[in-house]
Amino acid sequence: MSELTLSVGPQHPGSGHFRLIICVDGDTITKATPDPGYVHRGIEKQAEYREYLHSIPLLERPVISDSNGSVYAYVLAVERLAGLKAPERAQYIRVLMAELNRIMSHLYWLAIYGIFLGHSTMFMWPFGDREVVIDLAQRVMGARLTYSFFVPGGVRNDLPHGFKDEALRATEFLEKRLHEYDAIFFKNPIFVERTRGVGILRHDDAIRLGVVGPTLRGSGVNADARKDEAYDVYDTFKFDVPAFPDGDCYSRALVRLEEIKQSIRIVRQALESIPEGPFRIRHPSVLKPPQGSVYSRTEAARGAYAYFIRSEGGKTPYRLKISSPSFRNLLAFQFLMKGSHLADMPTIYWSLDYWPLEADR
Amino acid sequence: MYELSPVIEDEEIARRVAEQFPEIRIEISALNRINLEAPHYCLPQLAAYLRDIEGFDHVASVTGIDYPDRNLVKVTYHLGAYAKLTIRRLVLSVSVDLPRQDAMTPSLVSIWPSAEYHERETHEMVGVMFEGHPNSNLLLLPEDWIDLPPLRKDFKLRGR
Repeated sequence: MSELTLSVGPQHPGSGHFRLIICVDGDTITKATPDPGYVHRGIEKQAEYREYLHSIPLLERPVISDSNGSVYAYVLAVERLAGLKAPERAQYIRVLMAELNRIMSHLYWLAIYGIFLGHSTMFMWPFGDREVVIDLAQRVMGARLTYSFFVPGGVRNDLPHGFKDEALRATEFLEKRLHEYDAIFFKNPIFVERTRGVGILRHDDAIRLGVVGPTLRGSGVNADARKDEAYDVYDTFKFDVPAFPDGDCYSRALVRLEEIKQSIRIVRQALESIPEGPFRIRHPSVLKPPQGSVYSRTEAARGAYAYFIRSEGGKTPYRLKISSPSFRNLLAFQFLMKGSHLADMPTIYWSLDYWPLEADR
Repeated sequence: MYELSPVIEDEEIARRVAEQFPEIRIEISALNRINLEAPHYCLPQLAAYLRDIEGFDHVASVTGIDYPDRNLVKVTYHLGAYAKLTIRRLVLSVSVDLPRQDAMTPSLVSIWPSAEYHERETHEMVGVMFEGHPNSNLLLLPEDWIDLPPLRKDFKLRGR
C-alpha cells in the first residue's frame, strides 16, 4: 500500500498548538515528526530585558496548570545567585503549594485523558475534583492558576487562618475519590485495553532519549529531582517515587495516580510539621546578583524543570535558559508513534502530558 | 546509597577527567555541580569518555550565550545521569568557546541522542553550527525567519 502523509494539528482537538507530521501505511504510522513552535514567545529573550522579580509572572505563563512548578527552579536559582535563603516556614509553604499544583496538574491530565479515550465520566470527575484543590490554592495565593507566589527569599503571603483544617479535609476528600478513580478508570477494561501495551518506551530507550518526569518513571527509572537533589525542605518528608517498569501508556497513567497519593502524603506531613516564623526575608526589591552562573532544577508535574542563569552583575539576567520537561519529551513522540496504529495516536500523545507552551517557551 | 561522600566523589571525578584530558579546565562550583571548559576539538572524545566511563547518559540542556565584547559564543551542555544511581544528584556542564563569526562545533547527537532538539534550538536561536547534526532545520522559529538568530545580543526587541 502507498504511504500517506498527514498533518495532525496545529488545531488538533486537545493537542494545543502543536503539529505532528505523520506518515501512515494503511492504519500503521511509519513515521512521526513533531513540529513545535506555534506558541513560541521568546520568553528567554524577554527575560533578558526584565529585572529578576519582574520575570516571575512571565516565566509561569508557559505552564498555567503547574505554574508554581515552573517558577520554583527559577526562584531557587535567583536565591543562589543573590545569596538569599528563604526562611524555613517559607520553604514549607513552597513545598505545600508545589505539591497542590502537582495534584491539580495531574487531575487536569487525567480529565483530558478521558476526552482522548472517549470516556466522559473520566473527564467530569477529575475536573470537578480539581476545583477543590484550586479553591484551596486560591485561599493562599489569591488566584486560580497563575499565582506569581514564589519569590526569591520566600513567598508572598503567609497561610491564611484555618488553612490546615481546610487542607486536611481536602486531602481526605481526594483520597476517597482516588479509590473511586481506581475502580472506575484504572480497572475499567476499556481504559486498560486502550492503554496497556500501547506506546511502549523501554527502560534503556527512556534513558537514551533523556525523557523526564512520569514518562521516565513509567519506564521504570525512578529518578526524581525531589529525591536526587532535594531542594528546600523536601528531604525532611517521607514519600516514595512511584515507577512502573512496563513503559506503556498504562504505566505512565499509574505513575501519575500514585504521584497524587504521594503528594497528599507530603502535604499532610508538611501541614503537621510546618514551623512558625517569617515567610519571607527582606531584601532590596531590585536584585543585583554578582557575576556568575547557576543551574538549578526541580521536579515539576511534568518532570525535571531546570533554569540556567548567567549574571554579569546587572539588574537583569545576561542569559536565562529554560530546560522544560515537554521540550525534553519531544523526542519520545518520534520514537513511540512509529509502528503504532493511527487510532492509538491520541492515546500516546496525551500519555506524555505534552504541553505545547512549555516546550515552545 | 553513596559509597563515597558526595564531595569526595565530585573531586574524584574531577581528578579522573583532569588525568585523561589535561587541556580541560575543571571547576567544582557548588555541591553537585562540576563545570568543564574544553576546546571544541576534543569535545567528541570527552563526550564519549563522560558517557562510557563516568556514566553521564543524557543531555538535560544546551545553552548558547553570546558575548559580542569578547567576540565569542559560549555553548554549554548540561549533562545528567539516570542509570548510575550515585551520580543522579550531579549536573556536569561542558562548555566550549567558539568564535562569534564562525561558531561551529561538532554535534554530540551521535553520543547522546537526547541532544538532538537542544542542539537544533541552539542552532536557530544563537546561530551555532553543529557539525554532523542530523537535521538543522528551524524548530521553534517561523519557517520563513530571515532575521538574526534572536538570542544573539545584536538582535534587539522592538520597543525595549
